[in-house]
Amino acid sequence: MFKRWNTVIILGLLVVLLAACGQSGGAGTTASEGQTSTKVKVENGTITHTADARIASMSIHITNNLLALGIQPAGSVIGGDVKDFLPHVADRLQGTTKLGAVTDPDMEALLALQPDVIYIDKSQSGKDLAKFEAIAPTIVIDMDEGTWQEQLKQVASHVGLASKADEFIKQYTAKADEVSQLIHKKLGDNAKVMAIRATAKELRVMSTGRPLGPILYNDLKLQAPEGVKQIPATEPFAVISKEVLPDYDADAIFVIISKGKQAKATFDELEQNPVWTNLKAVKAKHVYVLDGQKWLDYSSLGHSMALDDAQQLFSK
Amino acid sequence: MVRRYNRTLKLTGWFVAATAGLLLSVFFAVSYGAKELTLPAVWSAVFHYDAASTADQIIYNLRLPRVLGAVLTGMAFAVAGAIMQGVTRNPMADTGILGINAGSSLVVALSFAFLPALSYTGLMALSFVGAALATLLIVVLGAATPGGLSSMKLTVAGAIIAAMLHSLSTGVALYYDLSQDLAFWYAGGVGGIGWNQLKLLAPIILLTILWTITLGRPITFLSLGEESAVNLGVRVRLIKVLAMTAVVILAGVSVSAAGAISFIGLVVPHMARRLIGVDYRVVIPFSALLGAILLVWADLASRMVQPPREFAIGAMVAIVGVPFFLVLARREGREL
Amino acid sequence: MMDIHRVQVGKMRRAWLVSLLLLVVAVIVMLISLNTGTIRLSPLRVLYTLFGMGTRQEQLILFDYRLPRILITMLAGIGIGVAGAVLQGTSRNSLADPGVLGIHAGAGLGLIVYVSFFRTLEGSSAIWIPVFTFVGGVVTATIIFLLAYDRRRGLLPIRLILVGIAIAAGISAITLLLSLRLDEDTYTFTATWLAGSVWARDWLHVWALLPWIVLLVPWVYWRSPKLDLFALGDELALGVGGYVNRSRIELMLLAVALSCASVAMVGSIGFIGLAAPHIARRLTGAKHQYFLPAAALLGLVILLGADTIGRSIFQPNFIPAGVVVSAIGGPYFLYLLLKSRF
Repeated sequence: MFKRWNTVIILGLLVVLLAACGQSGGAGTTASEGQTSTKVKVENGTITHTADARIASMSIHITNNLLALGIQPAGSVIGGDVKDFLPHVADRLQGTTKLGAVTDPDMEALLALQPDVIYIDKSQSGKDLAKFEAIAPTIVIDMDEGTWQEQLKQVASHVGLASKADEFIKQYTAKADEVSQLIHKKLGDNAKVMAIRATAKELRVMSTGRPLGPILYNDLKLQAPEGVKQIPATEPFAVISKEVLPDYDADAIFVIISKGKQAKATFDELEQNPVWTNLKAVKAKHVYVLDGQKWLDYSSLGHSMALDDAQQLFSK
Repeated sequence: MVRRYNRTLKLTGWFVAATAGLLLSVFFAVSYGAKELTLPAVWSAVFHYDAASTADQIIYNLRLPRVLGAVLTGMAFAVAGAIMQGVTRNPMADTGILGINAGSSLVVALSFAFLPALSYTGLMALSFVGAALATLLIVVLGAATPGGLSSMKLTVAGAIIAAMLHSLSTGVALYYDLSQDLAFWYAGGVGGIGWNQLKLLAPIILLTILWTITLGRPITFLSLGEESAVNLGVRVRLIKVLAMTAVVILAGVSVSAAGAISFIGLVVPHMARRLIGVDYRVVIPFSALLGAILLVWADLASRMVQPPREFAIGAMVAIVGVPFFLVLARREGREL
Repeated sequence: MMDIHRVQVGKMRRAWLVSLLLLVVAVIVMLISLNTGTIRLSPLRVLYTLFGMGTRQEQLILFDYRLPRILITMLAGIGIGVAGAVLQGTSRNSLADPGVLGIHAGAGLGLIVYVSFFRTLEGSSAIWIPVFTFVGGVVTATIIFLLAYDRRRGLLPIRLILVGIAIAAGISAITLLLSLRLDEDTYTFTATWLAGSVWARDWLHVWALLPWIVLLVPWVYWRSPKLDLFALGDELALGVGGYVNRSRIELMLLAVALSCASVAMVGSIGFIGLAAPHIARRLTGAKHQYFLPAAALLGLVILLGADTIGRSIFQPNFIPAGVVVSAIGGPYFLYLLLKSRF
């Protein structure tokens, strides 16, 4: 009897010891605040920093907004789908440290980077704010709130490059008008355009909401078919069956093919199918395969590159 | 004489009924889908195909191939199960439960990771190799045990092998981040089958099934007991090898097209034997018909639960198959 | 009488020795695991930091990033190891394992129900995760045991396994189906969870799991004489103690609670609940009071080891601990199965 209790006590002690380790850990982090570098200023809770500060970006879209302002971050998370920097900006991120996927960032790599300032997306990592603040001053931007133009300005205000952001937006608007005319010249004035995305297991029709709606139906001033308007704008897309494709009655179709062999196969098969080849848009040869990552990237740089992509497609 | 005549009549009746049932099921499955079509439209599409009509194209190019795919793979899984149950005398044998489908899935996952440019024919061949390896593993396990494996033990061993191989497939998929591609294989589905695949699937599956019917007589003897089979002049080892080869072909080819679908091979042969007796010369073709009907309905159900999304057909079959399996397990347990 | 006493003392000494040895192994594995990560820390620095003498950066790495995950893995290992031992004892089935029996599948369904109605795995509501998995596990276990029970002959061992496997297949199918309905992210999470991946990273998850292990493991230990009685067979146990069914149900509930709370944080991991008690019994003998501690420590060592291997060997990517475990545990199960007399 006595010996048995001994074992229980030892087991208990072990657990208490483990718990104690945890306790001291919790205490250790709250006690010390991150030391602030001279490149970063904190006034009234607002963080500003110089353009040459070591920046760690915990959102791929914030990274691209920074790039649009001509700033290369010292470290950035990578896209969860592609397991790398987004392909359309990879060449601008040479030398930038990879900090893991957005959903599961590599905190140790971030710590080793010793950044002066960290940018996080409120909707993705807002709940872990304390963890980031333990490493460096952290700027929180809600990437679900406001347009990308507003988000770009917000980032610019922290770096002190507000004028550069305005300049970028002005150029974008001008280019959008130009490309819009180009597209309308080719498709006609009242052409209805829909965007679809082929993934490994399904076919999606993109809605009038983010990420594709604003650029297609606002910036490029295209008309949405009735079926597309019926998808709630709060949803990025609706999954459809191939059988109802003809019902959308679109004059032109923009196609995005997801990463992966299976998605490509899905679309190849669709292209072979008479249901597809008999669509109005296909017969008129108004099917355009987009460079998907640029269009799906709801950020200043992504959309600007999407316009370039459209310009190239329609000036042929 | 009269008795024999009656038996033939009964058999013919069942086959006519099953064939009619299959045709009716196919017609139903072709008629219902995301896009609503009237029955006359379906009728005219099947019998007077008009290349310019949208409705005809939807039926001919989207629905017909997948329904025919369901028919063929349903046949293949059911016949594979029937043969396994006959040869091993294990009422719980099924290519899914015994891990053969899982072996094929693992190889498919590996080929996705290492050979992304593989053609469909290549994929089919590799899937076949995977099925063969898993079968070999089970046969070796049985042979390595003194006195052989009891049917319950074999079932458990197969299920554990299936779980292990499945776990490894998941590991491969997550490591190479194929989870999106693999979702298809997990769930299984005939939605991806087009005329191109059918051209390969149809001859292989139909010829293999015809070939197994010619093995029906010795399989029947085997199913009654190995000793009596030997006495009746059956070359046991040869028949076993041939029968398992057929099983591996059927399972491998079907998995490459529709993913790992369990339980069809379990449920259908039992139904077939109950309806028409134990003669495998008729059990095999009858199982084929019933398997086809079952999978066509499972596919239709998977499409109709929440259109336009498609549910996992494997899960659909499991919902029917698991209770059936449990009943069998109870009955088998009693004999221990 | 003297001899029996001497044998008893010898066994006890052996059990103590084995447990102590396993504790040393556990500490070593833990230190290795603490060393695994993007930033290299020397073992000496790890020790320094553990005793509060590290730099701020080292403290962050150890206490905020690595320790929570490791503690969760350790606790879960203990939970699953003990749960396996109890299940084997109460069902008198040497092949019983909470993963193989489908109890983990039930826990997974509970987890997905939680995710679908509360949406988030973060925040203070994470405390409730083990409750949901427990409810899922209990419901599933009840179904399995009812189906495997024979009125005349009690629980039939091989039928229990078969029923468990079938129920696991059915419930996993339903779980995947539900998650497929939600969205891509949930589906990926479910698939990863089913593969047995340690996903919990925060202290909060440690606090959610800790009470279950700290309270239930000693409880099981306290009731371990009953487990020895079960080993004698139902008829005998009835004669000796009475209340067999009541204490049997109590112990089974404990096992389900331990394994379900554990897998809530580390994903559906099979075979540990099988292997840990088996090896422990080999090392210390069949008396539960001796081998339970060893089974707990072995569960810890195996799970933590598998997680560390999965994280370190395959860098920069990872392989779920469950895959590592089943690659080793599956063959072990087959070996036991072929040896058994069912």
